[in-house]
Amino acid sequence: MRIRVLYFGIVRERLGLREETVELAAGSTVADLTAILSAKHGNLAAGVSALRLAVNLEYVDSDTILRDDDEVAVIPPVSGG
Amino acid sequence: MFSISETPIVLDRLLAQVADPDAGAIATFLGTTRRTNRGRNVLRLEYEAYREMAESELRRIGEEAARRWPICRVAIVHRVGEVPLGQASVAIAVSAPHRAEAIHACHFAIDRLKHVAPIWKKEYFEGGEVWIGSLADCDHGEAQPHDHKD
Repeated sequence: MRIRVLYFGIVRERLGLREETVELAAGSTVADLTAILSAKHGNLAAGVSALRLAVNLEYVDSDTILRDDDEVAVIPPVSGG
Repeated sequence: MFSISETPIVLDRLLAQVADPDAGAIATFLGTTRRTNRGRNVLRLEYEAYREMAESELRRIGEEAARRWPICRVAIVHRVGEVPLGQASVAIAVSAPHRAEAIHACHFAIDRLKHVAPIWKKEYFEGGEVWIGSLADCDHGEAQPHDHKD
């Protein structure tokens, strides 16, 4: 299945990447995806205080199961206001 | 009512959105960009948002406020891109039958926004730049997530 991954803030800037598409085996979880992303790009969370992930505009836990065409966002610590 | 904007915030628009004949009060909050932070001279601030999710989260904040207090309407706007010093980066307006509820709900909304809205602030200061709150270890004194305002 294909997952669209979006990057923001410090992570986007470090990777030099706003988004990419990742192929995953059916039944993969958010944790599986982050493992693949870290293998590909190095540890996304290195030096960052805490990363959250969102699937289809909602914050999720790492055991959430992904589905084809999901949009996953890698969310560094927010600082709006 | 719940939006991310590239253009300067016009508070009158929010006031019009929350106007309600059942309201006896409108509370507003404006967050503005300050020229100093942690002893640094700030040159400029830039905001980035995950727009669709940010607007969805702002809407949820409004819904949560309406569950907690008897209020009429809520409007929240957050600006993105460069925000010149001294201008509003965020605005909240809450109307309610009575002032206490309007004020409490407005306070709740800005606090909640700072925790959940997928919006990021980058500070450019004399001698460097930093994504506010992003780094776990010491970087230009940014060891802790913190507010730029208040």
